Amino acid sequence: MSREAIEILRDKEPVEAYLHSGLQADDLLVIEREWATYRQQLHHELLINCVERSSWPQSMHWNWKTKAPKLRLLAVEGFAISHESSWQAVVMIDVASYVSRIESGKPLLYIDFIEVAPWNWTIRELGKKREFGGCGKILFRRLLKKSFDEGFKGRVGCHALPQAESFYEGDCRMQRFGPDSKKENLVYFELDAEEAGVLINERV
Amino acid sequence: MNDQDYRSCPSREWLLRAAESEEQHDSLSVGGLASRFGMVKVEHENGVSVFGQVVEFGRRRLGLSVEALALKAQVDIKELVLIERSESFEPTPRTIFKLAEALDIPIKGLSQIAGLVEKRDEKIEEAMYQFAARSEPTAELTADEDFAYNELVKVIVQQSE
Repeated sequence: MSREAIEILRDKEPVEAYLHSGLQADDLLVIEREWATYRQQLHHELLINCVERSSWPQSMHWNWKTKAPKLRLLAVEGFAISHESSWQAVVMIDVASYVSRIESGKPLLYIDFIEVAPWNWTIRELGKKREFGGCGKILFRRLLKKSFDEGFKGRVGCHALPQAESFYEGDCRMQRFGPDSKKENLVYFELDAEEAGVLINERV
Repeated sequence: MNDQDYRSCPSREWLLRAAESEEQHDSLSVGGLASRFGMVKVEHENGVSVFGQVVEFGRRRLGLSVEALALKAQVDIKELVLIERSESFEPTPRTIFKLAEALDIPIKGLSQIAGLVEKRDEKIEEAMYQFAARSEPTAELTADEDFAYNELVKVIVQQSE
C-alpha cells in the first residue's frame, strides 16, 4: 500500500489526511469493522427517534462480515482516505470486467463500492452533517486519474444507491442510464471521456 | 495530464467547493458490490429477526420489561432494544449467552437462531420458520404465541441435549 498526503475539511477547516492506494478486498473488512460500532450507535438513534425507514442511510444494513469468505476471492483493488488513525472513506474498483455503454465495448473503470465513514453521513432527520468533507470528490478524482493511467481515457461507470444518484449525475457529471435489472434495479451512471477530461483538469 | 501535474486535491478552493457540493447530497454510496451479494434491498418495514422475536416473547412470558430483562441478563439496554426491534442488528456472543441464561433457553440452540453458528440444526431451522409464521407482534402474549413459543423452545431443548 502506498499513500499520498492530502487535505480534507473538518468544520470548513483543512486538516491533514492521507489517500492510500493498493487496498485489497480484505482491507474493506478491516475498515468496516472500525465503522461498525458507530454504525450501531446511529442505528439506535434512528430507532429511538422514530425516523422513517425510508430516510435511513440506504447502506445502513450492509454487513460485509458475513460475506467475508466470498469477498476475499474478488479481484478488486481500492483507495481509501485516513485522518489520524481513522478511516474516512473507501472505494473499491474493477478494471477488468466492465465495458462502456457510451462508447460501446470500450473498457472502463467500474466503481464497485464507495462508502464514507458513518460519521460522514448526512442524516437530516437527526440533524447530522458530515464530520469530514471532500472525501467523495477526492476519491472520484483519484479514480479518474486511475482510468487515464489504465488507458481508459477517464471512462468510469457505477451503480449508485438512490440517495446518491444526484451526486453522480450532478457533481460527477455522469450520464444516467436508468435502472439495471442485473443490479437489483440500481441506476447505472457513466462518465464519458470528454467530461472526464474537463473534471481532471479542474483546479479550483 | 502527466503524473507531475496531478494532485488528488488540487487546491483549497477546489476542496471547499467539493465539500460544499457533497453536503447537498444525502449519500455518496455506490452499490455494485453490495448488489453482487444481494445486499441492496433495504430491510422491510418494521422487520424483526426470529431471534428478536424469541427474545421478546421470552421476556414477555416472564413478565419483564425490556429494562428488567437487561438488568437480569446484565446486557446493555440499547442492545436489547435493537435485538427486539431490528432485523439486521447482530448481537455479540456474550449477549446471546447472557440472554440464554436469563430466558432459560439452551445456549447452543439460541446461538443457532441468532446466526452465530453458520450451520443450523435442520429441526431448529424448521421450528424457526413455524414460529415466525405463527407469531405476530402484539402487546400481550396470546395463547397462540404462547403455543408457538413453547413449540420452538421444546425443539431447541431437545436438539441441544
